[in-house]
Amino acid sequence: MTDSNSDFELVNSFIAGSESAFNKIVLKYQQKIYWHARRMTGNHLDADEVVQEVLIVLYNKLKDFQFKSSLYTWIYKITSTRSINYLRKKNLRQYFSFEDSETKGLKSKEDLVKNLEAKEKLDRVHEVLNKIPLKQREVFILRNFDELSYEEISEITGGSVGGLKANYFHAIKKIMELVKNDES
Amino acid sequence: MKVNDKIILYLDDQMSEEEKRIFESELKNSIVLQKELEDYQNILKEITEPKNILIEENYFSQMIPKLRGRIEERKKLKIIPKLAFGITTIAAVLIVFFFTFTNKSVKNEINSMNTENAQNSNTEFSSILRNGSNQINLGNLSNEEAAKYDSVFNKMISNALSLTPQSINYLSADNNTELSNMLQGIDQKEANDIYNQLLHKKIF
Repeated sequence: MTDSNSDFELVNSFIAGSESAFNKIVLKYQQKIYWHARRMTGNHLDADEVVQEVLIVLYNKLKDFQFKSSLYTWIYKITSTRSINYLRKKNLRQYFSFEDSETKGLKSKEDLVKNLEAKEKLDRVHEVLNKIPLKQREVFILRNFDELSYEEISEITGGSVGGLKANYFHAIKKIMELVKNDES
Repeated sequence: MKVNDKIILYLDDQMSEEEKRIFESELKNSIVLQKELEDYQNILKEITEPKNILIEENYFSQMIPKLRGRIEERKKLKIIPKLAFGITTIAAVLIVFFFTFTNKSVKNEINSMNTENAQNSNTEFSSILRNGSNQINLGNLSNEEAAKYDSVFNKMISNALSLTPQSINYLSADNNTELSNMLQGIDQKEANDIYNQLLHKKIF
């Protein structure tokens, strides 16, 4: 999966006081963090917020990391948790806020994907994923986009393998229904 | 349209060897099932295709400087809550101290006044009793003497029970009218005995 010896050395260097070691860790994982957050949240702005939160948590908590799991797993765990928490808070804010749909629409247009065709595909994916429950979305993304096994996903989410399989099954079923209904 | 659960399990590789063998044999014999499987595979591919989309490169190159800026900001902001907490705690302690100290001095003043009054009342009453008889005969008291005894007695009772002036008013008798009313129904000897017992219990 990843070069764990290298991660181990980088973490120890950071704990010893090397800021450049932390920069190297960020460079190594920033794209994975971003895309996982993006798929969970559905847009660039929210993903950017989550990424910043995750990196700050990494900076503050890396000295306490004890290699009980791989660094990769630990980073994914933080990213997943922060994404879910961010979305829950956002739903609450939207429920109580006076933000109109036009403002929301303008925000969603801000994106860094320049290829129009790619952007359309991405928007289509997000439209479908946003309609399935968060926990099912999480498993689907980790299984299909990050190509992780159920055991690895279990380490990240803390769920049982059986539960995760059930979540994935329901996620796929829901996605198939949504896509087929759209087509028909 | 109804989703085929077996296809989902097959695509996710969640079938046992036996189940897989049976399903693949069904697949071989059914063009409809083959078409359905192909549809599901295409949908999954469409959903999971956007894996390595390129975004503006400078977004990632700016990530570390942006992070460093936020870390510095948070370090500065951490001081403000601590300061606010410290000031609030000190203010709360000062307020509690002020009210406690102020109440104590007022109480001490009231207590010393009450003690002084009590002592004065006790001295005054003792001297009244010494000058007169040790036993007070209510029937022989003049209105003035009765009023004097009652006034001193009320003072002693109010000091001992820490009564307010309003409470004393409820207890004080109008010497002429109410005392006579109280004494109706009991004879002179009984009244004297009760009165003297109360006084001697309290004072001596």
